[in-house]
Amino acid sequence: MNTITNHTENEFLTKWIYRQLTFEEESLFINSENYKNLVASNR
Amino acid sequence: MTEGNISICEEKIYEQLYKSYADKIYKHLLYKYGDMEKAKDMVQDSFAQLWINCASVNFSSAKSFLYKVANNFSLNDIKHKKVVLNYEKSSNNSDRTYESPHYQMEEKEFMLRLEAAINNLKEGQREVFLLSRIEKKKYREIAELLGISIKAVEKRMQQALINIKKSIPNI
Repeated sequence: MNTITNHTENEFLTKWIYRQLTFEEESLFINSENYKNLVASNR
Repeated sequence: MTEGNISICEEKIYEQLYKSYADKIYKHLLYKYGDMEKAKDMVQDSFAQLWINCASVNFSSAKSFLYKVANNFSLNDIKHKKVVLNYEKSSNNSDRTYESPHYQMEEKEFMLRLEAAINNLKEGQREVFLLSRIEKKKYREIAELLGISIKAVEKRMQQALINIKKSIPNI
């Protein structure tokens, strides 16, 4: 899996909240716009 | 009172479960994976998950729930160490799949809710949550950074997760 669909981003966010992302998922997620926005808005 | 009537959402019952299983799960994780700090953090996260799901988990299945969640955390962590991933590839947005406007709207709404939920946390809770999830600090490191006890970090994280779940009920 090397893509994040809009649908799965919500699942990724939920898993991120609960620290349940696998390494592969986290690697994809931290490059997503959602994650970058989250980091930017909280730093 | 039969086991079926016992609610984990009652603090006394939850504390009883904590006293009964926290140390056992900690040792289980420690012996299995050999990292004291990670094991401690995973125990706390497992109990936070139990509290969040207290209404849907039966007292009789609390133990298996805790072990399952703890093991899932651990397995994810092992994958972290074993798998090497090409960040460059994944950071290329050209292969993103854009779905229907409905999903895009759903995603945007989720993000807004999450941002609002984080912003609405009490300062101490927000600080602990972000240090853990964005900075990837361990609870001990957060405690040292903030000059508070590890117990206080655990409490703040638990409250943060509960408040986020209140703001985004479907997670």
